[in-house]
Amino acid sequence: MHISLDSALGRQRRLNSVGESVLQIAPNAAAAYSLRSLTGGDPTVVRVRRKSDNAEQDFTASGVTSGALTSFVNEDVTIYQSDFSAGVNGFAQTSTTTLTGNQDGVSDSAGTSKDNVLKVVKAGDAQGYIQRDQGVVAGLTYTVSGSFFAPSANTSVDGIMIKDGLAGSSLSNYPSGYLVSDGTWKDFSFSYTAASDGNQRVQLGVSSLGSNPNGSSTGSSGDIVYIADLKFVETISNGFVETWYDQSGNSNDAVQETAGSQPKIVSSGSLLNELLFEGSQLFDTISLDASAQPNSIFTVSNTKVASQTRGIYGTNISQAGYYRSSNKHAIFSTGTGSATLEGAAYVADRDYLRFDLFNGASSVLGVDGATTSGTTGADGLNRLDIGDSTLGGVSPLNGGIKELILYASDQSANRAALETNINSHYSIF
Amino acid sequence: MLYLIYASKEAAIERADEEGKEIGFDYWIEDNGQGTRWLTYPDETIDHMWALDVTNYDLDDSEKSSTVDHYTPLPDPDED
Repeated sequence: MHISLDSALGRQRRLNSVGESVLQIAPNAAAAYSLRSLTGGDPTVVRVRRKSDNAEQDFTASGVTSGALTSFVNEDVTIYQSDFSAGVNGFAQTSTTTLTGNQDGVSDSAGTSKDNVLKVVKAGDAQGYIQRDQGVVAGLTYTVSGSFFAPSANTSVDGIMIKDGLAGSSLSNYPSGYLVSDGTWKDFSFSYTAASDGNQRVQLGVSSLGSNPNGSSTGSSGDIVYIADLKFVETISNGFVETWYDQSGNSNDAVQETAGSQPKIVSSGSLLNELLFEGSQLFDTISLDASAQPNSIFTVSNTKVASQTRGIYGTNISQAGYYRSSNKHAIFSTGTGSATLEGAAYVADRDYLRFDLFNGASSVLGVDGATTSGTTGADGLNRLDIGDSTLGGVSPLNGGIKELILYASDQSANRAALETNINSHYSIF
Repeated sequence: MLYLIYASKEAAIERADEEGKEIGFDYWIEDNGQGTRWLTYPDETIDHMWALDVTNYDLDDSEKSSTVDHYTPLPDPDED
């Protein structure tokens, strides 16, 4: 058995050896989570659901850094492919349009004929449009393609414009620009980043109106546009964490089976390098073997909001580490000596490396290498809640967590070495 | 937000399961008990009913007529 010199001399370990991982420096963690390897190998670290089609995939630490995770999330996925073979496929008509699906043999003057076409008839002279929610999400990017045909027999209508979910008739709300048909079928394709969720409108257009082709046009009632093969492909998406795998070997994986409560890891196509909790995301409670104090939790986290009490984690029914509304880091535990221990001040949008030691009257709240000692309650740990706590009055985190390592023991002796390892990776202080 | 109120947690989860299957979440596709299962999960109300956020659910007409736009959640335990 190897015993380090520091250990043999009973001294606090000062530095980690080059290349040593977190769990080599301090093994026997009860749970350990990160997007990097804490083991020294290449463990599976995260299971990700992409927003576009809800597909999921596991990724190792190297899969995160290599870009494989980001590529998976941003894989092109068709979120809507029109099917007008049996009807209008969910498109809603307005008071100024009438819709009919399943139009076959729709031919133009050039002899091109299409089946399974949507027929849109303008039912008045006012603006005419149809609309449907394709599942577009603000901030994500889409390629929209399709075909349309405005017969030359029309009085006024000769084109279409496809609108973002934004309100208002400004031409800037139509990322398609003005698409004109010369009496023949026209294919189109364009890409845009959505500014709004909601319905995407297909507006009938009139070139003769000049700079206002989406306006009203006297005599346009009865004009027709045919639409076929309309497709929305999501090309830049969001990714969410379904499982944050425990690297400790204890299989205490953090799982969230509810899509609406999963923290984000890829936002508008970009890897966040953290799990982003936005005030209503958290993992399911992880049951742990009960363990009396002392216990230690290392975290790298941030909050996006100052002056609010926001939980990073909970380890008992009323035991937590959190950002307090006093703008101080804090820990709290019930039991004998029940008390809050406040540490250093925090500001929003900045990472902090915390060493939280729950140890009754000898508790520690260490932030970025500094130490505040004091008292918390004496309850031990028996659960782990990540992104929240069970402590009343503490809201779910509105911020990011990069790493969380939990020990059912006092890790003061390894603190300096672990903090050196963690800080060298994240460059926090 | 739109909510459906259920008398039991089991009934609310049954509806959440139905929506999860409809969406095609991984839990239902892979049939291995792993992966995302629900779009939303019910919360307990102050009168011990269960509120399911169905804002983005595909509701039938009967459900649409039964939605409420708010509920009072079960309060948290004591504050620190």
